[in-house]
Amino acid sequence: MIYVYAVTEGVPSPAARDGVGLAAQELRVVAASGLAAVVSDHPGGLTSPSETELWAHERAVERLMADGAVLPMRFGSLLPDEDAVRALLNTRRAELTTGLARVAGAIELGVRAVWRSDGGEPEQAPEDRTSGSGYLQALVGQRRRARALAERIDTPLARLARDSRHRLLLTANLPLSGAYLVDRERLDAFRTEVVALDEQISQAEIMCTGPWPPYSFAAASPEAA
Amino acid sequence: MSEQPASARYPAQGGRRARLDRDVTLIELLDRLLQGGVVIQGDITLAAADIDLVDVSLRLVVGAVDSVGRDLRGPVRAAVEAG
Repeated sequence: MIYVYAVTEGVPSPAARDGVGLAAQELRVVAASGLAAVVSDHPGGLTSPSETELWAHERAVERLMADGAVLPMRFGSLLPDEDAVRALLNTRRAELTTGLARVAGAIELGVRAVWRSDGGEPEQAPEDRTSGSGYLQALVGQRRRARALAERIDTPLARLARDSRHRLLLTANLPLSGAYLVDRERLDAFRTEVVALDEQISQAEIMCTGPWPPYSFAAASPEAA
Repeated sequence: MSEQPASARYPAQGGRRARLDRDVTLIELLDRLLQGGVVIQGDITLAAADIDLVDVSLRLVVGAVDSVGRDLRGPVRAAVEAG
C-alpha cells in the first residue's frame, strides 16, 4: 500500500522531502501530469493510527511547505499501488492545479475562542435538561452570543486573509473555530491582530494556532461550488 | 518527540494557558487532518473505524475544552444569513 501525504506542483526539492513519514518510512515522489504526490510505502499496510502518526503526517506536509504550494491530503489516504497514485494525479489534475493556485504563497492559521471561566460567559448551558423550553432558550442564547463573538473576531481578521472558513460550536466553552488562509508576509500582522482581539474581548480567550498546511482550503469553498 | 512541528509553536502569550494551548492544538490537528485535506474518492483509506477510534480517544483527552464540538457545527456565514 502507498500512503499519500500531499500533492505539490512539480517535484519538491530533496531537502523538502528529506525525512520520514508514518511508521518511519522514507518519503518519495510519484509524478504525473506536471504534479507530484509525496508518498511512503507500506507493503504490509498500516496499523491502527495514534497521535504519533497524526504528527508524522503533519510534519511531512510541513516540511514540503518550505518549498512551494502544497495541497495536504486527508489523514489516512492509502492507495493500493503507484498506478492508483498516478491515476489520482491524472484524473483530478484540473481540481488539484486550481487548489494549488488557491493556496500558493499562503499558510493556514487557526483561530479559536474559548469562553473565559472567570465569569465572562454569563449563562452556561443549563445542567437541568428536564425543563425543555428553558434548555432550548439557553441554547439559543448561547448560539446568539457565539455568533456575535464570531462577527467581532472575523471582521478584522478577514481583512488580513485571502479566504476564511468558520464554524460555530455549540459547546459550553468553545464557541467558535475559524480557519484563515493568510499570505505568508501577513503572518505577523495577523498574529498581532489576534493578540489585540484577545486583549480587547474580555469574555473569551482568543487563540491562534499554526502556521498549518492549508487543510481547510484544499477543497473549493462551499460558496464557490 | 524530538522534532517540534511548526504548528505547535505559538506567539508569546505567557505560560498562563500552556495547557489550554496544548489541548487546542490537538483539537486543531484532529479537525484538519481528519476533516480537511484532499479526499481520495472511494473507500481506499485507512480503516474508517480505526480513524474514528483515534479521533474519539484523543478528543476524550481534551474533553474539557471540546465537550461535544464535533457534531454540532455549522458554517457561521450560513448561520448569519439565515438568522
